Amino acid sequence: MPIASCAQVARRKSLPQSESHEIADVCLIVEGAYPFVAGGVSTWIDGQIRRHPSLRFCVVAILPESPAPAPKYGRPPNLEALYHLYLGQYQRGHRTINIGSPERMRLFAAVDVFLRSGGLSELAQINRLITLLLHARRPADLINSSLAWDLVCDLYERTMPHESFLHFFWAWRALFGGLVATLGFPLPAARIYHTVSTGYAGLFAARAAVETSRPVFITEHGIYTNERRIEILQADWIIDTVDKGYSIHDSRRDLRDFWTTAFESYARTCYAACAEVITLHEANQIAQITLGASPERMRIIPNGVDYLTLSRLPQATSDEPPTVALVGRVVPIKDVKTYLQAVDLLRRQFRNLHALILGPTDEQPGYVDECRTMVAELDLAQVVEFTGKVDVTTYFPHIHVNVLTSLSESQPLCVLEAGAAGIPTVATDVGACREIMFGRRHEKAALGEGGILTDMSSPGETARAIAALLGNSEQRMRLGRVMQERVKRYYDLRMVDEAYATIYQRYRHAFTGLTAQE
Amino acid sequence: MAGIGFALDRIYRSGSIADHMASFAHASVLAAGPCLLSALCIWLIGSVNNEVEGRTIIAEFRALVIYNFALSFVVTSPIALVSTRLMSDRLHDRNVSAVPGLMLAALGFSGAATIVFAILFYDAALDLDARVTAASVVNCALIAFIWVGCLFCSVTRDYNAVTAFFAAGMLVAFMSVTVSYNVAPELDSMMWEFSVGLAVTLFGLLARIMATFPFAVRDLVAPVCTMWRGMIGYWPIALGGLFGALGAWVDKWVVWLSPLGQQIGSGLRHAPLYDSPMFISYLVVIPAYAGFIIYLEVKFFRNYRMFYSSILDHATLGQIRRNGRRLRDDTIVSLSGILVPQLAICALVALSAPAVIDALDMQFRGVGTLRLGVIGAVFQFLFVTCSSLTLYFDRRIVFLTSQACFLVLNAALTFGTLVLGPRYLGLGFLVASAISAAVAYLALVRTLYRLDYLTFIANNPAVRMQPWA
Repeated sequence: MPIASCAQVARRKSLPQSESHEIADVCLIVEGAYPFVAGGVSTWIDGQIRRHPSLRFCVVAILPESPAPAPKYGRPPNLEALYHLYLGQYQRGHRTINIGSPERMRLFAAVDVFLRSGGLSELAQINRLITLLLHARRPADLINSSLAWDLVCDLYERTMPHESFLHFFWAWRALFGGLVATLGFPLPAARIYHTVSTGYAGLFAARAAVETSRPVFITEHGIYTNERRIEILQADWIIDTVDKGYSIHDSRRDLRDFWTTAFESYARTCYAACAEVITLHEANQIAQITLGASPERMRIIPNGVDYLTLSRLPQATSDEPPTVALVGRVVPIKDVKTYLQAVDLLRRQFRNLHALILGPTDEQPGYVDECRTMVAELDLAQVVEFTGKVDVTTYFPHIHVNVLTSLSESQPLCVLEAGAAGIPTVATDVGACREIMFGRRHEKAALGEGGILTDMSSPGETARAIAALLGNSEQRMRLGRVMQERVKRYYDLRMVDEAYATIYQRYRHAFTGLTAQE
Repeated sequence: MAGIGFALDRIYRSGSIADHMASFAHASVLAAGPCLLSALCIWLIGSVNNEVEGRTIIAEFRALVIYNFALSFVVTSPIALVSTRLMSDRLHDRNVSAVPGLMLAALGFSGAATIVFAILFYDAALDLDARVTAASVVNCALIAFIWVGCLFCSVTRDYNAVTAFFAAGMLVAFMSVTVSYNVAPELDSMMWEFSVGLAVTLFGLLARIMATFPFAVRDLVAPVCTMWRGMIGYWPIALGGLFGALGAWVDKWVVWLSPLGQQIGSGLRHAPLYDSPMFISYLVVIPAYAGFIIYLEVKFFRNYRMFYSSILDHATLGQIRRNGRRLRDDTIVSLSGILVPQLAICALVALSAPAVIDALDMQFRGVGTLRLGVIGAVFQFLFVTCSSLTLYFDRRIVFLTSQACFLVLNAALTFGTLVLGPRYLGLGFLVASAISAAVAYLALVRTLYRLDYLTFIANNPAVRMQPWA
């Protein structure tokens, strides 16, 4: 199977569409995940490819810079190509690009409008202009050109002439560099373009819609724009030079506004391009509508789990040592430290307590070290076990309670998997946890509770909830059965696969006829 | 949501800008000044002492010292420029403890290269007497060390000390050579005595540097490796330095090797008809160089720092551009301000060339060469200052190109104008200097007009990756 890189297909705006045997059925577009990061969306993509063996896939993996890290997933047989799109691959290059004054003004205005508001026709215009500029040139030539310099100066004067120019320059360079890299990358030929987020992946998908009129859709697991907004608000690498005080009438924009607006524009453009705007749960749809997604194109397809296999696993008995597990990567957003504190509180009540942490430990080694230090300081070495990445089905038969202490989630698979195995969950009230454990608003024949929800960063509350389940086997088993039934009804992988198979089948030979004007 | 996106700061590459070229470029400018003192010393030795009847010892001595200056200048220029650039990088990174190691590495590179070339030249090519060869090689190595030491010392900005060490060394050299010649007129003794004066200058410079950077050197391998990587990484600077040194001497070599040149003992060649007027021409432009250094100190650095510090202090684009305009306008106005009175001085010298020639007891045929030389020297001053100023803005390729331009033009035009006869000696140098000055001036003006773009993109190390730095 060829694994192509940018270099291999460089200077070709698109792969030959006429040779049907070269056209992938589905081009999956993913930013910063598959196949280089384990878990979550990457696992979903890996499964998506493997569970549709009759379709040929290609993947455009968007990365900040080269080299690409080592892949964490084996290559599925129906993955025909993996393309690496590097956003920051523009350090070197020539710097002389001469265009006429009218074209120059058009480009400047188009970039300004696109970064402020997005939109398909705006994307089409900017895509046309940048494609012309990139003709026989590399993105580096454009991003390092004096034309690009004039562009940043023009944009600065238009948007925030009061800001630190140094910081504006770097912010602009990151945004414009990413835009040029995304628009300049050769478009793999495919029948369907399927992105898993907005951002640069969504932008690339929107470009595919504009250039090919092929159907594009998005399966948004979490709301990318929200996550970016939080990151930008917390970023200490963005300097604040505009002090608005308590004034709400100060219209001056600062760099955080600049970044956030750009990502919102990308999201708007992506939603406008998508024939189907899919997400995993109801809460996400509110955010999508706020960012301009059309309600009639929206639908929910949750993540699915292999109910058949998981439901056949034996369940932990009351005779076994009380065992709890946190399934997930050891990263700050999972708030493993709250879990450890809860375990510390529980072990006085449950002497043989065994606390598992089932997930990869290689993503943020610094945080893993902090967790291990905490285990040592709390004298939990005999209680807590870091297993690394494992097959959870070998552990589920020994687990009484599944725990999720995450600060943010979309639709956590581990809760569904544990539920399918009849294991109740104690989870923070984030993402789709409430929906999974208590049912959707319009759940037919309400099944009741399948676990206990807690507040975030509440070790005491988490410990009390776990204790309630460990100490009452009847309740634990009742909640486990509810979860099992809910997963069977709404989250069975076969149903989810069927839904995607239907979508892929419907759009496989379709042209949306989507034009920039729409 | 697991694993979607990546930290934005991975694509947000905030980085510094190339704001630390000042000390580096400054060093390359300042090296020229004190060397004039050495030239003055050689001229004094020749003027005060009379040649022993039937011998050419003073002429040979003068030729050997000039050869040593030329040879060491050519060999060490690339090393000295690259080492000062590396030092400038270290100073910018506040890594001052690395400076002595770097200087030792530069001295080692320069010494080794100079000794090898000097032995090859004097022993193999010229077949000098062994004692004279030994004295000349040592003398040549000392001059090479002084070039390097002078550039490093210029970073201390103690120009008075640098000038004082040169003056003291040359005074010692003048006195000891004069005494030696009058006691026993032997070439090798004179060379050794001149080396004593050079040693005084060298140790004075080294003492000044060590007082400024009092750090022990515990590892020599690392600075040597740094130097080696620097020579490769900063190849335009190294090559530009080499071309600059060759360009400064090539017209003399062309004339020496022409029928207008003369051979003195052991195959040494010179051309008094060309050398003396050209030397006087260089002396005439000393006020311009002095004015330029004063301008650098008084105005340029202030504007230069204001421009770069305003960027780093988060100024708006309007403020940055205002500071850039001030830097540009002041530079152009100041260069004109220095050049105009210097041109007047040169015009006066050119008009009074016969009187100057007569007063200095030079060959009267050299009047034309002196006239062409003084005008050429003004253009050469403009060329040197403009091309050096481009280095302040890290325009390495521009520097390299302008130096290559001068080298090629000076060699070709000097050779080409030989057919016009001795009256037109110096015309080639004048035209070459004028064209090169125009090229360097236009390059500088273009640089100054595009300063904001160059600072943020074209010359920005955070944009233009430098793995060797």
